[in-house]
Amino acid sequence: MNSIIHNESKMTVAYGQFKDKLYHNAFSFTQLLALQALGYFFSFNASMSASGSDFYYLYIQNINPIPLFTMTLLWMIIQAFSLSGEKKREYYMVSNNFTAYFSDIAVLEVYALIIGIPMVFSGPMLQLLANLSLGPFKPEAAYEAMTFIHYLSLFITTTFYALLIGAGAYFLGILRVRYKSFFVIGSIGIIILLIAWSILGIRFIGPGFSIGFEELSNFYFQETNFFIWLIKIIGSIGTLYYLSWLGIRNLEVKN
Amino acid sequence: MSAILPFVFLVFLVMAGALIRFIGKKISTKLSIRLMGLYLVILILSPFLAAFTGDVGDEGDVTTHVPPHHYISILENFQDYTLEDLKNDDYLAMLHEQEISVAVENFSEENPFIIFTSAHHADGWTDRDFENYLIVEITDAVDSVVITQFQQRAFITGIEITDQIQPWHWSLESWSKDNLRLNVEIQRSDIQLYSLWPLLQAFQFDESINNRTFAREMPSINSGTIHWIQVPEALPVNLQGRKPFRIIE
Repeated sequence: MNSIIHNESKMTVAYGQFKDKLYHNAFSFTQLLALQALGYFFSFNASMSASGSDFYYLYIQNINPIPLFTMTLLWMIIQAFSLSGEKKREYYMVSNNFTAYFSDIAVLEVYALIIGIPMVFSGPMLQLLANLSLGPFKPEAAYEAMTFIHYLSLFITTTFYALLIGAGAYFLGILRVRYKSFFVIGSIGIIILLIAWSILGIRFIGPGFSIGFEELSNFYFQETNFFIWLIKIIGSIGTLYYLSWLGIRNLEVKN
Repeated sequence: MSAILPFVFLVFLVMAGALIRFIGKKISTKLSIRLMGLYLVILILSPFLAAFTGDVGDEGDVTTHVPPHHYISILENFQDYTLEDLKNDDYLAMLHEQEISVAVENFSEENPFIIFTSAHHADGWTDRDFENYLIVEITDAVDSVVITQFQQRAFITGIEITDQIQPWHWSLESWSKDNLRLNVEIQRSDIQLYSLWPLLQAFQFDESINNRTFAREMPSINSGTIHWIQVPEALPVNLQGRKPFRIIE
């Protein structure tokens, strides 16, 4: 076949694919809306504290956007899995692994930027919904203390965390596509290893031994120096991208 | 409740998945993009909409700067006030007005109408004692006993909770074979507040927020109650209670 599209550079084809995927995966935005709605629902039921005396009993219902944030990240994971899974059916006639990889990563980066917007406006949106459903109320002092810098910080961190989660999910998705049933066996093996590691850790190191999602997330969440945080997060994303590339570069695409 | 939440979450997740699956075929690419665009517009407008909806219903003259223990200063200088003064006081809210019919002819100097109260409370947070809450006015302006309850306007973190405070319940009760007395029971006030928390990542690089934890102690309630009881002049009254009453004759 001597189609003129084969004369285009890899980057041009990848860019074309990027636009194509962005448009044809537009239904994912509806999924995002559904998950956001679910997130708002759970944010209104995040937690409650209560205390009082015989005459006054005070119930404080905390409206917390963390469930909304979690549901939004879940959308990112779904999209990353979905994009990595499309390798199985040879989505593009002119596709090769580089253009598929590059366009997937670009789409995920756009999605991460899109996620940043609802998360920045999650506070005012929750405030709006609370005003409409609960009547006027004043937010927590920490919320009121937020300045432009805090909102900017929220946008940057949310975007990068979404990228990190997306890159991780994409890497796992590539492994799943590449190794198929071995991926499932490998996943089970890793789970068993982790459980064994936890048991042995507590047995030989003691109750102080702790490894889990919280410890892992603290590596990023507890970092208050912007530049060190940026190095950590970009380094992690870069590593996951590179591992994904190693997984996809000589992947045989089959229908 | 917290144990049920994961199951509720799963049910909602399945429902959301089913809904997406069901409506997915009917939502075109263009409609998805338009929906997302509309959502983004609403998001961007949300700060203005939140400010607008927050102002609706706000009386505008609400002040959170009620002097501490304002009601005590009124009780201490009760001779300087009339019932109308209390009704017009910006820092007091009239919770309840209750009229209790009493047959004056059934009472005499030997068998007086008794206003009795053992009800008092020391607030758990402030240790204020609310025993001295009664002003009894002997007046010919009323034919029956009229009790008007006032509450010092109470705010917690800027939110007014006065309307959530339950008025005390006054009633006539029989305390001996042939006598009635006016007694009060305090109703417990269940106060519900909503607080909106920020996402912690907003303070990721702000070391001024200590460890980015916003846990706080339960706030105290700076408030108190005044009960103004108007008694018909013709009704012989005997006051029984834990502390001297404040009487206007």
